[in-house]
Parts: sequence; C-alpha cells; structure tokens
Amino acid sequence: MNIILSIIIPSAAGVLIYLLPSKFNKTKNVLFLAAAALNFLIAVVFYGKIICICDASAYLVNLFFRNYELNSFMAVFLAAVTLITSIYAVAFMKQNKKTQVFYGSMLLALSCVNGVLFSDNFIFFLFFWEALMIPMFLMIASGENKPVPTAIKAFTISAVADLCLMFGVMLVCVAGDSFSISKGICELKAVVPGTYGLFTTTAFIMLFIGAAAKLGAMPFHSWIPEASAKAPVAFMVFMVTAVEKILGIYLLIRITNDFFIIEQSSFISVSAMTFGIITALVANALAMVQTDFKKMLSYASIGQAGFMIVAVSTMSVIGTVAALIHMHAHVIYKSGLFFVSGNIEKAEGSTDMNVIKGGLRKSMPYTFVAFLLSGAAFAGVPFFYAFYSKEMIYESALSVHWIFYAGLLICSLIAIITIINWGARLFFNGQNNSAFEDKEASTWMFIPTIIFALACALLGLFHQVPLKIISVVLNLNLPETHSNVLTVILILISLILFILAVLNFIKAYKKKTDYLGYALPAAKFLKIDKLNLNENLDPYNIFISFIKRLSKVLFVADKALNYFYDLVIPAGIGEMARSTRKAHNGNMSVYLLWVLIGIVCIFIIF
Amino acid sequence: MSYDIMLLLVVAIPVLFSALIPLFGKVSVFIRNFFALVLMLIPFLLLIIIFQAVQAGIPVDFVYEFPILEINFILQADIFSVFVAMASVLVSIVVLIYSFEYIKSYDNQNEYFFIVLLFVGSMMGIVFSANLIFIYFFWEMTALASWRLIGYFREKEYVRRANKTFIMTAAGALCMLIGFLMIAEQAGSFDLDVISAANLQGSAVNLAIILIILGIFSKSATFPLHSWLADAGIAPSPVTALLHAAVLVKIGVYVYARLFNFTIVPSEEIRIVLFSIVSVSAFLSGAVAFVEKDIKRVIAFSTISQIAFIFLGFISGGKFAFVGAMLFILMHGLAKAGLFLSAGIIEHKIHTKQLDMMGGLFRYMPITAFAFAGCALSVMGIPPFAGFFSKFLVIFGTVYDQNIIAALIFIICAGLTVLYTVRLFWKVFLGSQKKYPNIEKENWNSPMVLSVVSLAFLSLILTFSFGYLFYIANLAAQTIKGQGF
Repeated sequence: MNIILSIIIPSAAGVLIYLLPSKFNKTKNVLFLAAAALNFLIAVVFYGKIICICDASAYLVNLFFRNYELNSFMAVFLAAVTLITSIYAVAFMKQNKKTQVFYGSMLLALSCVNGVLFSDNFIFFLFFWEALMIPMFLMIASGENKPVPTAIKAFTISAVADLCLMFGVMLVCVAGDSFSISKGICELKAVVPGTYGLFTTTAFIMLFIGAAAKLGAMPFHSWIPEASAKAPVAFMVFMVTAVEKILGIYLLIRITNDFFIIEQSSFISVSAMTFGIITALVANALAMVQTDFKKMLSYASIGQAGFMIVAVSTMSVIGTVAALIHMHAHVIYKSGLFFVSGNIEKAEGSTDMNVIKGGLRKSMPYTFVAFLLSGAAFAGVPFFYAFYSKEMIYESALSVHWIFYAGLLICSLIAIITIINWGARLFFNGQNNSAFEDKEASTWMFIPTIIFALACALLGLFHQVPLKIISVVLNLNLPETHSNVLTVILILISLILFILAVLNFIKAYKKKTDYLGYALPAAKFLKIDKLNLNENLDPYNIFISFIKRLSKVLFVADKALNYFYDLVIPAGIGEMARSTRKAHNGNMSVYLLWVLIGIVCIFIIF
Repeated sequence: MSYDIMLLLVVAIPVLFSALIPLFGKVSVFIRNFFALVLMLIPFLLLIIIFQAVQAGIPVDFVYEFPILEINFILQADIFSVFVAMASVLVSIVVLIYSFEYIKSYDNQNEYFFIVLLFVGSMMGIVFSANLIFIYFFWEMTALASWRLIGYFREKEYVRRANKTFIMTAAGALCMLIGFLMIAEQAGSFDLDVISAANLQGSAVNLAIILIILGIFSKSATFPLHSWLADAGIAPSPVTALLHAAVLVKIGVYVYARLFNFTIVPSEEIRIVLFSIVSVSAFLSGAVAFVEKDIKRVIAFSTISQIAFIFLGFISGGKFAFVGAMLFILMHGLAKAGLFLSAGIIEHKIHTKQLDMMGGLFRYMPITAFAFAGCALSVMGIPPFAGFFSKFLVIFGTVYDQNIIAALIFIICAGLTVLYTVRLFWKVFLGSQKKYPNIEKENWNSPMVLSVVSLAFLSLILTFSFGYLFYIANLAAQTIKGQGF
C-alpha cells in the first residue's frame, strides 16, 4: 500500500459511479461513502511518514510522489472534511437527479487534490492542479437552478488563472533547472538569495496569481457567489471552502517558504499584503449587503482568503503559522455555516432573506445551536477557534505596518456585524407563521453540521494542540513575542471591537427595522450596494468585454487582409493584363521596344 | 521484404493504387470503401514495422538514381519522419471511416476517395523524401489534391475559394522552389544529407531561407498567408479535418523542422522575425476565432493559432521545445480532427454552420457533445487530456531556450484558446435552446459518431502513454541532432 492509492481509489470509484446505471442509487451512495472513508484511512495511515516514490516508467522524472509533513497534514484534513461532507451530500441530495455526476466529480476532484499535494514533480503538480477544473465544472453543473453559465464562468476564470500559474512554474523549473520540486527548491534558493531579478519577480507574481485565484481572491472571485446560489451546498463546502483554500494556502506557503526568499516589508511583500487587504475589505463589505445567506457566506469566504494572503505575505514565521491555522479554522467554521444554510434551504426552500421570515430558533433548535457555535468562530469570539488565528494575523500585520492591522480590524468589525445581523434575521425575527413546526434537518444532515460546530468550540478551547501540530508541520518555531504585552493589547482591542458591534446591534434592534445599524448607511455612502448589483462591474464581465472588443478590431483587420487577397490582388492582376493587352497592338516598333527592355533587364540582373 | 522496400510501398501504395478506386467504385460501393481502407491500413502497418526498425537503429532508406538528370529519388526514414507519418495516417484512417457515411449522399464519391488517398500518399512522399526536388514534387501534388477536394461541391463560390487556396499555396510553392534552387546552387546538390554537410551560411542562403519559409507559411496557413484556410471551410467536413487538422497544414511545419532544425540553420535575425510572425499569427487568429459566427471558421482559425504553437516549438528549437512541437503535431491532429468531424455531424443534423442558429444541442446529440468536449479540452491543453503535455512542453521549451517574451505571448494565446473554445462549446451544445424541426436521433453506432468518439478517446488515453511518447520524441531529436541535444 502506498500514497498513490489516495489518487487511484477516489478516481476509480468516481469513474465507477459515473458508469453505474441510474437505477443503482444505493450502490452509488455506498461506493461514494466507502471511497471517502477509505481515502481518510489512507491519509491517516500515511500521516507524517516521509515517503518518496520513484517511477522510472515515467521517463520524464525520477521523483514522482513525496509525502512529508505539510502535504500529509493537508491530505488528512481534506480527507476528514471530504468524509463529513460526503455524509451530508448523500442526505442532502436525495431528490437531486444529478447525484451521480456530483458524487463521481467530487471523488475525481479529491483524487486531483491528493495528486497536487503529493506530486514532487512540477509537471504532475500542474497536471492535477489543472485537471481539477473538469470535476469542478461538473459539480457546479449538477446543481438544479440553471447552473451551467456559472460553471462555464468558473471554468474560464480557473483556466486563465492556471495559465499564469503554469508560466510561473515554467520559470521556476528553468531557474531551478529541474522538474523535481524538492530538487528544484534547493537550486532555486541558491539562484535568488533575496534579490529580485525580472525573471524571478515574474515567476513569483505568476505563482502568486495562481495561488490567489485558487483561494478565490479578487478579481478571480466572481464565480463563487454565483455558484453558491446554483450549486449544491456540498460543493460550497468541499470545493470552495476546503479544496480551494487548502490548495491556495499550500501553494502560497510553498512559494513564500520554499521557492523564494523574500524579505519582510520588501516591495513584493507589501504589494501582496495590499492585494490581500483590498480583497478582505471589499469582500467583507459586499458580504454585509447580501440578502442571501449562502451568498453572504461566499463573500465572507473571499474576505477570509484576503486575511490568509495578508498573513502569508508578511513573510514572517507568525504570519505563516497564522495563515495555516486560519485556513484550518476557516474551513471548519465556514463548513459548519454552509451546512446550516443547507439545513435552512431544505426546510424553507430558500436562503434568501426576503423569502425566509425568521424565527427559526424554535423550529430548528439544533441548527440554531450549530449556527451559534460556528457563527461565534466566524465572528472571532474569544475561546473559539478562529479567535486565535485572527489575533496572530493581526500581530503579523502590525509587525509590517499599522495600516494593515487597521484594515483587518475594519474587516473583522464588518464580519461581526454581518453575522449578528444574519443570526437575528434567521433565528430571532419571529414573523414566520410556521415557526413552531418541526423543520429540523435530518439526522444525517445534522451530524456533519454539529461536528463542525463542536470543532469550532473544542479546537478553540484546546487551541494549543492544532498550534503545536501546525508548528511541527511547517517546521517553524513561533517567536516568544506571541505571549507578550502586545498580544494582550491586541486582544483587548479585538474585544472592544466586538463590544462595538454588539452595541451597534442593540441600537439597531431597538429600531426594529434593520440589524446592520450604522453599517448600512456607511455601506450606502460608499455605494457598496450598487457595486453588489451592477454586473458591469464584475471583473469577469469587464475582462470578457475587453477581449471581445479587441477581437472585433482584429476581426476587421483580418477581413481587410482577406479583402486584399480576394479583390485587390485579382483586380491588380486584371489591370496588368489589360495594360499589357494594350501594348500588344501589332505595331512593330512597340515590339522592338519590348525586346530592348528585355535585353536591358537581362544585363541588369546578370 | 526489406525495410527499404517497405518504405517505398508506404508512399507508392496510396499514390499509385488510389487510381484503381474509381474502377472498384464502378463495381460496388462496399468493395471501393474496403479497398480504400486497405490502401490506408497497409501503409500504417508498414510504418509500425519501420518504426521498430528505426528505433532499433537500423538505417532505412530507399535510393534510386536518375542517370541523366543527376537527381536522386531518396526516401529516408528516421524516428521523427515515421512519427509524423504515423500520426497523419492514423488520423486519415479515422477520417476515411467517417467519410464512408458522410459522403454517401453526395455525387462524385469515387473521385473523392481517389483524391483523398492520393493526398495521403503525397504527404507520405513529402515526409520521407530526402531530396528537395521530390519534396517540391509531392508538395505540389498535395496542392492539386487539396484544390480538388476543397472545390468538391462544385458551386461557383466553392470553386473560387478552392482556386484561392491553390493560387496562394502555389505562389508560395514557387517562392519555395526558387529557394530550393538557390540552396542547391550553394550546396551543389538537392540531397538533404549533402546540404546538411555543406553547413551553408551567408546572405544568399538567408534569402533562400526566407523564400522557402514563404512557401511553408502559405501551406501552413500562417499570418499573413493564412486567409485561404478559413475560406476552405466550405469543403466537406472530413476534407477540412484532413486538410486543416491532420495533413495539409502539418506539411509546412514538418518541412520547416526537417530543413531548419536539421539541415540549414537560419540566422538569429531570421529566427526573431519568425518568432514575431508566429506570435502575431497565434494571437490574431485566436482573437478572430473568439468572434467568428461560423462553426467551421472558428475551428479553422483555431487551427491557424495552434499551428503557430507548433512553429514556436520548432523555431525555438531546443530539446523540450522540439519534443513538445513534435508531440503537438499528434495531439493537435487528433483533437482538431475530432472537432471538425463533430462540426460535420452537427451540420448534417441541423443543416447550418451558423453558431447563431445553434444552441442546446447537448440534448439531441450527447455523445457528439462529450466527444467534442474531450477534443476541445485537449486543444485547450487541459489535463487529463494529452494536449496538456504538448502545450506545456512547447511553451516550457521556449522559456528554457530563453525566449521569455515569446513564451509569455503564447501563454496569452493559450488563454485565448480557452476563451474561444469554451464559447464555441457553449454556443453549440449549451446556450439557449433553438428549434430543430425533424432532427434525427443520434445513433451511437454510426461510423461518424464512432470516429469522433475514437478521436476524443485517443486524446485522453495518450495521456497514460505520455512517458513513452516523450521518450520517443526525445529519442527522435537525439538521433537526428546528436546525443548532446
């Protein structure tokens, strides 16, 4: 048994599910769950075992797969999330006619992610990374609400971003003089000892774009909120929340820790942080003005990608550790919240604020508890898991410049206001006539929901455990500053922030009109609501429109060239024929002149 | 039978015996089709045997010296030439099988199969000829065959476009002939081995190279001599698949590789100009494909763009770029033929080539849609389809040879490829549902559908033998260019 099984088993099961006739529904469910469970087992068995597999038959490479601390941690984590999500998917998608496509694609996607994590060869790394697009397309397309345009959009954005990544990988392979990732890293670090030539800078930017796009950072984000409305909830948990974040952070950490040596506060570092903070600010602001719970979670997810980018881009030890912990925390609480949204969707038929009348705490008490726990982690409430990772991110951002810290604080404030607003609207606003009916999710939908919710609380209480594991995984020791006075001050500021958000809610609650309080007029003043509704401002639409215009110009140029061949050249030849016909008039002296010109030409040429 | 005779038969069987097809056609359609298939299969089987020989290092060449003219008819096989020949014949076999059903409702079928076989035979002649005069001879034979095939439907506009193709490629060939004569004058022979040994340099040689490249570009539809290719889309779909995907346009890139990677070395200035031209060609045609409204013209412009990728690999010329370009010939041939043949099925079903009249066809022809998607993914270079490896290696090889700007431009062009291919798939198979009165149900066991499926399947399955293919391509480059390559 070896780690290649984690690629072969899910893909084989996925293909089998595709091929099974539609009447074998139960077999498909069992196969799906069994493959997810087996994948988890393999990941656990190989956790922490350093393995290198040579595949001589590949000709191109010697080192093919490598298992070491970071990728084995990522693989176990993903395997666990996949297993839990697969249970939820089977329960949630009972009535869906495209479960076969979804299950098969999810397993193929899992296989691709394992391939990315274990590849020790850049070509195979790219192969699996890009191959992920196809199952992603199919998973979105398996939604029930005209999902294909969104699937096309997601595919196109990913394909274009992956080309940037491919170019970056090519530059790294040339600089490192190897396709082998581990060997290339050694060579590369020798090539760029802290200096940025155009070659290595371009390589970094291209790889960074690839990672940021995978994380769903702006401007590569616009398919995610659309997908939340069209694709099954299990897709949002598995692909958007888990796979995209795991791969994005995995690549970002490898870029900043392994491939390049980048100094703290350098131009590249500050630029990347700025990119992250803009993503976080805009996405959180957009999350706040959403009227659909799943869309809000999607934008919030994009915003958290900004947090992670800021953390990694500080190029500090604490930033790197914080990014990985925050990714871990984010996957857990956001999965919990997405499952809550799925439960609500199942009960109410929608997650739109205008459709749901609220008061769900009575009809869905367990889901409400899960929302409280996951939402508390989302808001960064002390003793919940994300609280610690956020504090570490603040600290790392502050070590570069206070402005980044301030930006992150604003983002957190918006996030707290947003989640309180949604909690109040969904569970406390008692306008729902059927509020006392039992609408609770089925057991197999509730179990995955509560697992993630409890994890938010337990991992918060025992946060030293994941912190220790992640420090070992990254082979980094946190500096002592983590527990000094500065940290205490930062925690106090965060608490003040939380109190401010609660006060804002209380004031808004008294008015009983809107729970966003002062945040809504601020959003309107900044025209965030218009930004949300105007499709012309979608970066994808802007890009496609630009390409279309450019193409039309080139199309006209090509037509002009065609015109030249079709009309100008034949007309010129015809005109020449007519002219020579005039010269061919039977006059002896004209013929003699022709002969003379001919002789002169021969003399000139030879 | 010796390998040398086998090599001669690879060229001679389709060229000479194709003339018998009209006779068999008079007897029975089945016998004619069977005979045509046999004429294609025998060379393919012979190529497999020859391939094993050249891989084992056995020299395979057939030489016949014309006593008076001092011109030698030389056929020479190496891994590169056999690889390209096998790729072309493989796709041609699929196209031929597809044609059995496609062409049965049209007139002049005997002529069709005769010309197709003649065309493939001429291609074999070009691939294995080691003498400039015979390269030119077979080159013009393909021009004549393609002229007849493009104007197959005989309508006035169709004949005009066929004439355009012939005039443009023949004018280019004339330039090429002048270039060949200049090279022969410098080297003292038309034989490639002699020319290679002469190590030619100087302004006269540069001029000759430019003239030859004009001919190559006109045949391989590269900017600014590309406009005939999209116009030739009026030909029957299997013809466009054969001409645009598998054979005709590949002739140019093959001759470029044969002459300028192995025989004569172009100056650095010429290479820079060539990089610029193919970059413009790839970008312009990719952009035009994004707004074209005729399905076959979109695929034709895509071909122009992808041919530029192959040129990029050969012009860059380093180990990875050359290997990538070589594999690109195979991968692109399979996938693009699949797209053209799918377009043929669609045209047969709904009797239009206009994208605006299409939409929602996935519901009516899911098998074709899946096959089309597979081929499209391979053209885009998306794994697990084999097009990924060839595209990666071509662009990586360009970076490896320090041509970073060219590589960056082609990355952008690869992005354009994604955009226009996704748009095409969307417009045809997804998009808003159109009304199709009397549309026939898709028949999975029709030769047309099976041909397209087999091409998509090959595009996928070759991924698993990519290590071997890379090894072969690398060996080809090393055998010809030396171990240090």
